[in-house]
Amino acid sequence: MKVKSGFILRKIGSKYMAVPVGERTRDVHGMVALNETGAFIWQLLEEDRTGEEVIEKILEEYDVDRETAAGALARFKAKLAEEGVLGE
Amino acid sequence: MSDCDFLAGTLDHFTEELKEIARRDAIPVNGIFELTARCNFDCRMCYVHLTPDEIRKQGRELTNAEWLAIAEKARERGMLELTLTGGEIFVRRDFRELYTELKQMGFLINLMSNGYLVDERVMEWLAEDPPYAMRFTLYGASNETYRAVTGIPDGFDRVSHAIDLVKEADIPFYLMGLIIKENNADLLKMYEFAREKKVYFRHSIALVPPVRGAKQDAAAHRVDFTKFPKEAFKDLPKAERIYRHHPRQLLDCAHYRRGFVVTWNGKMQLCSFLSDPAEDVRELGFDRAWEKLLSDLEQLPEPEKCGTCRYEGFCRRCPGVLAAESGSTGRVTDSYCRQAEFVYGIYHNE
Repeated sequence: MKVKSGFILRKIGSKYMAVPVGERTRDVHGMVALNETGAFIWQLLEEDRTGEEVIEKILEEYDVDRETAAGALARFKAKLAEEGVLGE
Repeated sequence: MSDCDFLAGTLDHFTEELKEIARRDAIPVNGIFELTARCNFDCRMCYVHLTPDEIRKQGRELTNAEWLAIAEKARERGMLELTLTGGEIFVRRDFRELYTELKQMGFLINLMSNGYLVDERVMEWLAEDPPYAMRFTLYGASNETYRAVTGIPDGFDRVSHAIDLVKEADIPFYLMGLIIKENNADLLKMYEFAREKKVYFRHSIALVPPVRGAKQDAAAHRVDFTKFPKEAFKDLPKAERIYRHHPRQLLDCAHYRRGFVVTWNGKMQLCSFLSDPAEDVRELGFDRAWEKLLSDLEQLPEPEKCGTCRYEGFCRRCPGVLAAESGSTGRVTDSYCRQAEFVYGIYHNE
């Protein structure tokens, strides 16, 4: 799984956001606001990865259990899919 | 917040927090690039329009490469929202190339235009790569009024068609109307026009005197609201104040410590109206110009009499407008004070 191309991930102050560029602005008006965890997952998903790979990376980075990591990824994926920015 | 939220970038918690952080840490999140002082219109009251000859006397427009270099540095420093304005942006023959490159850089881009040059050819590429938002300034509700204000005989028809094209392309869009004596009679018709087009419209009568060498006589065309009969405002809800109190006038400026303008010839200012301080971005580089601007703004004088003025809560006291009117942020003209007195009067039945 990966996010669709056409976004630039930015950090301004302590805030993270993914801003659509070029033709992606036809699909996404505005920007994707991310917290630190969201930005971490978004960066992982800029490359094609399996769900298990992403969960392992979350577990390496954050002091959470597997169920929590899997839940965070599931909610993140669902939001991206709902907005049409999750690639195959 | 959740890990991920899709936002349009206005009036949301995230953006409001970002603005607070930007002011606290002096991050230039809002940039305005004034690409040109040229325009295909010749509006009687314009604060900025220069002829090509006048431009040559003052310098030269920045090239696309120069604008992109500034944008790159501004992005590193935190610029998120970028407004492209003029003059008229579409008179630049190289505008499309510049816009396309800027669109790849991760900004929310607003386009400000009079709309006249937005036609099917422009929409072919703009619809494929749309801006975050687009605004046209509306100058009347008929070709006759457009001619009286802008000097252009078919302005209204062309702009009306341009609005249809922009709406067809589903680009977020709104209208702003600048009202002067010559189009004052069209105001209600302009609102009706906007309703029919199903676009948001708001108007302003706030004319700023010409700056940076522009020669138009704004005062001669300004609608003087202090001449309105106070009887017309008798049903206005009364208020103790209509502007928040700030210990310094700069605190009420949306750009203070988080925004800037770079003018057509490369000067970084707080806003389009406040021409001093102005730092040369090409000479200093973006970072040094931004830091110097911040430092200069802390030295801006303010009019002493405003601190004890009875009408203070009814006076906007924008530093840029004060400077454009009187020559200094530390001086306020009698006419400016009379406006505040009038507004105080209508909110206090005096």
